Amino acid sequence: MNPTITSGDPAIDIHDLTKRFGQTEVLHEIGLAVPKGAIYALVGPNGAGKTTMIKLLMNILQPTAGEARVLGVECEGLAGKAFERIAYVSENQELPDTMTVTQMLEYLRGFYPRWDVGLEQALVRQFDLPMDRKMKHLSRGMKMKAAFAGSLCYRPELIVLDEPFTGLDPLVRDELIESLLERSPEATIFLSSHDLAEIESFASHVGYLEEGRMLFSEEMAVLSERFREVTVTLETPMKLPHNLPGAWLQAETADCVVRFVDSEFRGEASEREVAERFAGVRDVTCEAMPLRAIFLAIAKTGRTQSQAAQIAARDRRVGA
Amino acid sequence: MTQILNIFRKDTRRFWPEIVLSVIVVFAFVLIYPNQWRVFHDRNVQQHMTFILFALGLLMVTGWGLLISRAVHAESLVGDRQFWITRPYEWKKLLAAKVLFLAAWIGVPYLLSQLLLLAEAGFHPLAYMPGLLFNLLLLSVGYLLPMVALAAVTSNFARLTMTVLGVLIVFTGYSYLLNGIPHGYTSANPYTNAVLAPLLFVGCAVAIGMQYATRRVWVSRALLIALPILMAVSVAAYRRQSLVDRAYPAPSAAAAAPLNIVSMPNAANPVEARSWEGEDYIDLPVQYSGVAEGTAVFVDNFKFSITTADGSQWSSPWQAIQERNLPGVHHAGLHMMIGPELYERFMTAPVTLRITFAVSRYQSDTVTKMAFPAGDVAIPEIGFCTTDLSNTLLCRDAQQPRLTHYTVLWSHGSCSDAQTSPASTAASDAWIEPASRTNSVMGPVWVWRSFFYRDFEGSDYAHWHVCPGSPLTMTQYHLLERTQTSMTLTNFLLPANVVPTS
Repeated sequence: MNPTITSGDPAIDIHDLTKRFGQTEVLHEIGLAVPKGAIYALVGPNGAGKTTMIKLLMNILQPTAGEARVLGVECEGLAGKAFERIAYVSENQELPDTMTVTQMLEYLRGFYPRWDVGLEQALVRQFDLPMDRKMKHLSRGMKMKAAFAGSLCYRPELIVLDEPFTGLDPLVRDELIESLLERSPEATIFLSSHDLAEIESFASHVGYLEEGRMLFSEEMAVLSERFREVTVTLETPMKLPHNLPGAWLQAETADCVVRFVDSEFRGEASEREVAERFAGVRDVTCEAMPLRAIFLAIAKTGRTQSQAAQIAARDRRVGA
Repeated sequence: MTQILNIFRKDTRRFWPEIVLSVIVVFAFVLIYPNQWRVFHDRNVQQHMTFILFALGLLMVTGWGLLISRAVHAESLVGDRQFWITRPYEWKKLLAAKVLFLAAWIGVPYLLSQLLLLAEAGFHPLAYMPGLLFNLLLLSVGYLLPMVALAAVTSNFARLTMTVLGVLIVFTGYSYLLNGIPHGYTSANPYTNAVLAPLLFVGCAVAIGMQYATRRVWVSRALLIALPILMAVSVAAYRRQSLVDRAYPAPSAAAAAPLNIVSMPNAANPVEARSWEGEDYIDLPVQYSGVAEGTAVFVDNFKFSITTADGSQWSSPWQAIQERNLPGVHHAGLHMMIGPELYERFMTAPVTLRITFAVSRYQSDTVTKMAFPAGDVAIPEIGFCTTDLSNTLLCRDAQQPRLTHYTVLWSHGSCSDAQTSPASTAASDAWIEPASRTNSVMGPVWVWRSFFYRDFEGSDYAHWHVCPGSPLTMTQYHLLERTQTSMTLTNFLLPANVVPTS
């Protein structure tokens, strides 16, 4: 079972969610809980299953096994009025291209009893939207801004974004993030991204998905506390021992220096463990890591393990 | 309701060019359609009008298909990228909005066009509202509903068009199955498969409902693929033999034969055999008589069995025929189809030939006698009739024509001479049956022509006319019964020579 966030009443609650397309398993027994008010960033490399997971949450696809609830509603029953409380924006969503921005907003207004005209006007001004231009004639950035405007005006309780910032210039991206942060006190935000730098600045929670498996899911602050880049300076050169803890990732040695990423850093206790594992420790430094470095460490370890598993499987086949 | 109107307004605003085009085509159809019952002195003009009407009909249907595609594909039910699927659309309201759109921009113009056409044809439109609504129902079940179902499982107009072409190909094959059923020449087609229309309606309605409710495309597609298969199975189940047997029950032993049928070969009309398109035919001269006064008996189908002296027997399937008999004696030929191998087997020795006829007996009721019209006249029970240059009576009604027998008198010479001596006149007749309808559900007016054939001597044909003022009699009939009758020929010898015909 994967780690879960359990604090509070979750806006999104997922248990053992599995999705297969034919023989291909895209998501494997995902477990996840997103507390209300959180800004949850789902990260992972391309093809990890992020979009599939979001589509399952939005009832665009149906799961093979497991269950998921969004704002207390079973995802497979998510339809109609339930979407008055949910906003969904995706980078590859087909928008009503033949409508002007004005027409689109007018049309959408009819679907939402809680549509805030004042907020609509504010967003139109903030995004500087060309109201009389057809959606199909908008630039990618403007299209995304219009999609945001059409999704935020009814003050949704949950905002789900699938790779919303992909391909946008930094200025547009910052404008969109700003608009999101303005909503964040009243809404839970769940977004997928493979741009670690952009989500590091505002996400409160983060989950890492790779090859359909949730490697971890936790608060950003806890994650930052848990990972340290450890550099151990020894008195004499030595080979890496075989029985290093599993939490020590990417261990490598060069001359008298051993480096690794501790994914379960516990302060002094971790430093004592280092001293016990290596003879003649002259110095130990534990440095906090940026999110990007943490993910790279996890991703590389994951791939190495995956490759090792493939080699072992191949060897077994050859042996057989 | 707000959501329904919101979607309807959006679709109308977005697709107004298509709507305008479709409505223009419908009303162009209304302008051209009355030419069906107008008399043209130039036959080329009439042919052009018929072609234009056909083209407009095709355009109208295509336009409706385009409107259906636009409306349904505006909120496409196929794919996972449409923006509307994560908006608070309620599927029932979405479906209702689409139905409203189609009703407003296809149903209403269609109904209006029907009302206008009825008025133009001289009928009071509102008096025929039930019939018009029935036509609308036919259009909905036969075309609109299947098109909506196909649009619901395709993502755009191009894919819909390809699918429709595929469906047409399937139905062309399917029509081969239907062609195996002889329709005969009866006042009402007794072979109607009562399962097909409900099956089509239910299948399409369920597929549409499921697709809108769940968007499980492959489930809906599977249902639509299963539909023609089920329809084909239903056709196969309603095989022609059982259909004819059911429609024409065998008479009770005490029942009198509706007509006498005897074989009457003679030197002038011997029994002959010929081969054509891989089949052999026994041409048997027969005489029909004994039809009671005030009735008419139609022979719609026949089948025959051959029994040899050693007791072996072969029975043919039902074969279509067209013989209309009034009181009196009527001679005709019976063309009995049989496989060449069977023919060779049976031609060696005398056999017993038993022929069973499927017949319909009609009783005359209304007889209308009047002068052959010079212009457009209203005839009670018939409708409006006029005549054209080809000596035909052109009639129209807002209802399906009843089985009617028309008799007229041809005159020799020009009509202005008004020749009435028996030597210069000749009687001719024509039958009009309910199946004679020449229009489709697109038009509310039934139009039919009564061609009065007469075998005049070659070049003299041009001098014979059905003149205005000459006596015209119209006798209408209603069905009394459908039954079977038979005749048996013992020691029947099949002709030794089978003559090939091309």
